[in-house]
Amino acid sequence: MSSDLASYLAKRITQLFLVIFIAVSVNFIIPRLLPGDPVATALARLQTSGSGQTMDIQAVSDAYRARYGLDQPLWNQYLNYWADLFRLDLGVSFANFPEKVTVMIANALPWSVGLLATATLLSFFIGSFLGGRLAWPGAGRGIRALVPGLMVLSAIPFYLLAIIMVYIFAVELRWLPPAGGVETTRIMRLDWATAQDILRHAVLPCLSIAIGNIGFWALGMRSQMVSVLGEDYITFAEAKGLSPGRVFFWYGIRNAFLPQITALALNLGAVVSGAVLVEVIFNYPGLGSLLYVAIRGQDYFVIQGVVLVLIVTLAVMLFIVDLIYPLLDPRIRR
Amino acid sequence: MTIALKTRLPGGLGSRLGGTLIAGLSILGVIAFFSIIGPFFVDEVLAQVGSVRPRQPPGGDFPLGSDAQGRDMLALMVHATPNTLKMGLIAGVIGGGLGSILGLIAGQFGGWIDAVISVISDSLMTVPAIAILVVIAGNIEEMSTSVMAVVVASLSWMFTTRTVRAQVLSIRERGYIEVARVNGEGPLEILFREVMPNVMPYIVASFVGTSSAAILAIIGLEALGLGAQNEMTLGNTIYWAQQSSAVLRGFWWWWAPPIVVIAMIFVGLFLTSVGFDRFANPRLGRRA
Amino acid sequence: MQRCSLMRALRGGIAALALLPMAGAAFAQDVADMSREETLVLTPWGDQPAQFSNVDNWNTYLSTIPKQRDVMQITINEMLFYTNLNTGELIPWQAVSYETADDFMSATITLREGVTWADGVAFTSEDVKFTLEALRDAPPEIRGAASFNEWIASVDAPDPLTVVITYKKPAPRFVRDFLALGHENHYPILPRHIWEGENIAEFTNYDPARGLPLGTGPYRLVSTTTGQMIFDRRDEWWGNVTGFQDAPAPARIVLVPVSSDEAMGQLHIANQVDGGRQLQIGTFEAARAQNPNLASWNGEGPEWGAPDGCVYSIVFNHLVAPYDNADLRHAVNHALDRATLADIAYEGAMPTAPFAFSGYMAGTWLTEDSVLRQMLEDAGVDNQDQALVDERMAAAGFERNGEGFWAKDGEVLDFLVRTPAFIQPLLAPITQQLRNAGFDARQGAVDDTWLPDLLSGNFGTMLFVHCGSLSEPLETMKDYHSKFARPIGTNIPYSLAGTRYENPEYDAIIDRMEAIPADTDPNSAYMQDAVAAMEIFLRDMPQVHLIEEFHVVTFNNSYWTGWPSAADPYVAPYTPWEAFNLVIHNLQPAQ
Repeated sequence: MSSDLASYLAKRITQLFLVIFIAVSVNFIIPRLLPGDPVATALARLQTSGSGQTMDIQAVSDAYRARYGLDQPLWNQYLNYWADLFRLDLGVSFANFPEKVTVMIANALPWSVGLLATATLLSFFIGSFLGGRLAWPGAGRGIRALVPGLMVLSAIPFYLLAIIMVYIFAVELRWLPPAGGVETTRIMRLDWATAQDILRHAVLPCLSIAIGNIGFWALGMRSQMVSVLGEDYITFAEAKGLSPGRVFFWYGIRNAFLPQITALALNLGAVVSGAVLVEVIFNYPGLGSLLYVAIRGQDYFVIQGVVLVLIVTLAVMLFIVDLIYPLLDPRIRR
Repeated sequence: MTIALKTRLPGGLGSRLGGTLIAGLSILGVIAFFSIIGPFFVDEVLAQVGSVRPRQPPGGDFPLGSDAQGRDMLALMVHATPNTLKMGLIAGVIGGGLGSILGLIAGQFGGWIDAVISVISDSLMTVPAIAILVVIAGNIEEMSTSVMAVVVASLSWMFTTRTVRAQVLSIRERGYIEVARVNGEGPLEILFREVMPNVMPYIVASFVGTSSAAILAIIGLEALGLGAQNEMTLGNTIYWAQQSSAVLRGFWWWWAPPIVVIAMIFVGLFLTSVGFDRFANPRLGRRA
Repeated sequence: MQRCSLMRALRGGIAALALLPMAGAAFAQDVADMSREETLVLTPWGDQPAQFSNVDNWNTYLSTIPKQRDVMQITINEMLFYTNLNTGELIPWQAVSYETADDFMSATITLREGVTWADGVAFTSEDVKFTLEALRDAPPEIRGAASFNEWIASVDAPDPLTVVITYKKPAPRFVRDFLALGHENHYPILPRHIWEGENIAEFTNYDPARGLPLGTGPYRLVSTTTGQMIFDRRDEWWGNVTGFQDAPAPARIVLVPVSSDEAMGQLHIANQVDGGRQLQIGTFEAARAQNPNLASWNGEGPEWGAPDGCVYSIVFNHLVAPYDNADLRHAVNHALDRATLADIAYEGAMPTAPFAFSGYMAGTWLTEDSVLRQMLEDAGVDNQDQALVDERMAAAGFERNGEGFWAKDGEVLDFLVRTPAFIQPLLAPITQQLRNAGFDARQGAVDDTWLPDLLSGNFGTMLFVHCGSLSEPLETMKDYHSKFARPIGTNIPYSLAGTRYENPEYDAIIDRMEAIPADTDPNSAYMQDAVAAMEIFLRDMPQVHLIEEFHVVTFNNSYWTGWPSAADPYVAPYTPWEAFNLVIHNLQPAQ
């Protein structure tokens, strides 16, 4: 490994840790800027749901606060926070005490990953191929006609698309279930019936995210492809007599793909944001729903935990992209 | 490059302004027009809770029907659209402006200033905006549209900074910059007289992009119920519709108009952005 | 070529992703399949997350674990008595009768013979003694600890079927309210042989090998995951064995989470659920249009639902000027048009209420010839009249300023209207009506700061519920006793008593009423005290009561019939209440 590459790697790794440190600290501070007492709030919400009308809120919240070190000075809390993080202890939910945040996240994560990963990969690959094909000279009438449609679809935030799709497919046509992850009476087993049930319930949420993003990837790919087509090596390849398909795929797509991947990594943040709403709309038991309920309930260890997971995931993904990029494209190595 | 830019001013505009840019600006223009004119013709009182008979489908007195709480949908659309546009504008100007300034400074001065700005910008970029925004938004006691715009702007400057900085870095290597430096121009003079005019197209483009992203984030927050509850905006309309199970109840005239208007705004912004890219970077127009 | 293998990889990847959620779920490999016709599917009440938490913590008494209220009350646990709140009828269950001594310092409960726990051990007075004393001594995070500590001195078990409770002070209504009401009194008796020696706050009460959670009820827990809780009927239930009752019809009960009103409506339409979370009136009507098997309490709307004993009202903080002025409070009362508020906010689904008496009082305390009813009608509380607003505000020392807003000494009254999320529909209409009457009213943010502020007194006015009115006037009138008042900054002990109203004359009346049992006889001391208290209320108006809370309870008759309704009011129709257990025993398959 050349010293150039080594120093680049070292710089990037340092940057990664710095980014995580800053983001985690910001994540720690902000919920504590919330007014009011989250412990008292969480317990008080239980009061109004009828189950604890004769509870002495003050005494209980004092007890919880002492147990979770919330009565300590901020600096101590911060250090404890880091110590807990190293032990992978993200704290305990107030609203669902004594449930651990790690357990709640672990339960919700598979649903979100399944949904988001599938939808994003689908829209990314289909959109990119479509975009590439569109940019290639000789694209047929039919494909060209897709452009305005794709543009409109990519312009609608995909959680709004979700509303439209629920209306058309679940309420009017009743082809697909409108909510939930599985049927209410389904016994979850490792069999085809369960998988089929999960897939059936995942179609609409997945499609909302996928369709909303296809246009974005297609148009992005198209403009990347267009600038690639202007490059000299394309002309050279054609002059060499290579078949159009090969030129398209081997030289065109491959080179246009690299900036697309960067765009993918950068856009994951936006995808996650929109996915929160999609999950809320579909009563889908993923991280988005978890975050939403925690925010409304000021359950700040849960908020912190989920945001932390998201930040670290994104930071690591960007890091991997930055790592892969120079390996794939020698021109970029700094 | 500078020379090419200087001849691209009025005179050569016609060939550069593609159909896309015109289309985008027209859509935005139409929406803006109705946003400005509309409120004079339609009474704001009608858009408040309880002003008209609730749950009426479109027709008769109510061209767009009324929602479950008694708001006239047409009046609501007419008054909500300008509010949403206003927020996007404020956020675009603040976010784009802040990002541009930081990008210019980082690119021009380099060194530790650049390092600090880059690290902060990169860290904040990994933070999923909605997570921080919901915490901040849920925290402010009296949320108003201006406050929301500023809150969103605070997390939308990073991309602009990155782009502008990269552009500044590439421009700095040009010959005429060296000439200016030799001529004794100070760094600030170089920044304003040589670099900035060439970065302008990117700054304008990023303003459009930032506005678009800001409106997206704002609508997202409002749809989650974290918007300025007292005010009429497109996102709040979606939230109220969801809370009253409008989809299940078949009140399409409640959730569909805001979605249509939002889509038009984004299509307009997108076309403008693409068209402007071609205007600023004619190479893109060659093969397409 | 490359594209084919890519496609294949994609397909495999998608299949793997689809089965990812299985990774998070606990497997229920040994749960038998059961047909939909034999299964009763319910959801918890109210706003809940999309997934269950604490799946293996079945502690019955920890305040943050809602399982007793969500499902244990109709499956695993039972109560000594239930009450049909519609008629006031007592329904003995684990016990057969109770008596309170003449001096109200003790009570005797006689248990039923033959009641057993699910593991065969006999249910005796030792279990009752253990439970009541444990609750008396429990830490504050245990539900009911404060109350049991306040009232119970000691409990004796002279023989296996007799329990004698000795109180710290006269308690004419303790057994009724805490052990027999069938309402939100979630205090089931715990099995002493399981709980003795355990820390009541930390015991998870979950061990399938030992049959925990253990109760006397006709169902046992067979599976608990984040998406479902499954209970299967056990035919060795004591009621079945002793001939008390047949085991209930549903062979299986499944509890699933649901996080929104719309999602619940969808589940009902698809017959994926039989009951549970309430629906908004519009959602109910739309769902019913698509699925005619859906029913609520009443046969026709818009007042489809049933009362829950609570009334929405404006709470005035009596330690904050100018809300300490009775004339101002009366002015606010006359500024509001309750019928319009109910129509806009709740589409007519909830009736107006001039005072905090609920529908459950209608048959006993608010009959045609009742003096309380007469008083309310004569007082003309529900009367929107600008002239009266003007009159009262003038008496309070206010006048309209240049912009038409009420101001005193040049300072405009800034009326901030606040509300918790569950009363949000009222926020905008009330603010609008107040503005129309000349108040410079504005909507406060709807977040969770309302409760700490209500408790600490950091508010001027607050929209909230006033509850308790199920069996007698005292339950709701006692909330104005000054024992609940605290200085600003100190939390009040009971959220429903937020006014910080202090009136020694009123206190004396309430103290007297608390020491004697309720009596509808107009000549009784109790009734005379009630009238006196009502007079003070009508004069001072510490709260402005607006609308009675009705929930559109929704039941699906596609698979099960026999739900309670106005036509068949055998119990109050609220799933989270203890007495809903009677519904499970009354259901029959629909075909």
